[in-house]
Amino acid sequence: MKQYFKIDRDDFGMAGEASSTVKRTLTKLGVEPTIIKRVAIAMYESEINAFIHGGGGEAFAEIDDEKIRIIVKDQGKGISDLKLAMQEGWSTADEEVRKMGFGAGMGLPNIEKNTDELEIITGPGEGTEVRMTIRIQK
Amino acid sequence: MKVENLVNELNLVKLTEAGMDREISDVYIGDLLSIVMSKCREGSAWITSQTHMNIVSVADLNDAACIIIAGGAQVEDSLIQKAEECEVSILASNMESYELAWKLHEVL
Repeated sequence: MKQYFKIDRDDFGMAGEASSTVKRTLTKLGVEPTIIKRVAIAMYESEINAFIHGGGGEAFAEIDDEKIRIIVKDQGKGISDLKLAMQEGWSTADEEVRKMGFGAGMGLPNIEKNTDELEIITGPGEGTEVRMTIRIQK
Repeated sequence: MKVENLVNELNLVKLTEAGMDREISDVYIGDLLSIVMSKCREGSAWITSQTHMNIVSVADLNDAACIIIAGGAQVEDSLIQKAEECEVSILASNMESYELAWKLHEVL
């Protein structure tokens, strides 16, 4: 099963909607709640990152019997130092965004913790593509 | 305890009609959404001072029993509308987080 979502930078109310839809699909499919929680965290964080840092983008989810594969990509300014960005507490979010409870510097570390495979393709001015796999059968 | 009973016990303001029969199993307090995403559990009453649209997604993704907005913060109609659509219950109180948590501990 495949799902596609547009992450619209102008519609803040929809941020998190892609993750919610995938979560509902997994619930209907009877996937184990602990797996659904991991997918929800990883996808939400990457969706919010695309929204806040990437100026919107798109998300894809592919679900089969063995795994859930999610790709979230944006055409934003990219991450110049990925190693630094993976550290807990490090964030480039501005004050306005932080007041809203984002920018804690936990997004990428949370994604890493909750995925079985993670690949981030990014660079200055190149946008960011986050490829995540969460296995259903260990 | 069900959300509806909590509303009565703590004299909370019911901002939505959705999810009143959900069962509350514990409490989580937090405003940093990444941390709420990893720590808030299914069935938690989530106390926060955030009032923007994204709290509905966070509560929905976590299967939180309800959101309780502390400290008498005002909310936009669009938040309530989104919460009703997602069947997320939002309650409000003039009490601050600590007092709310204390009272929740007494009644749960």
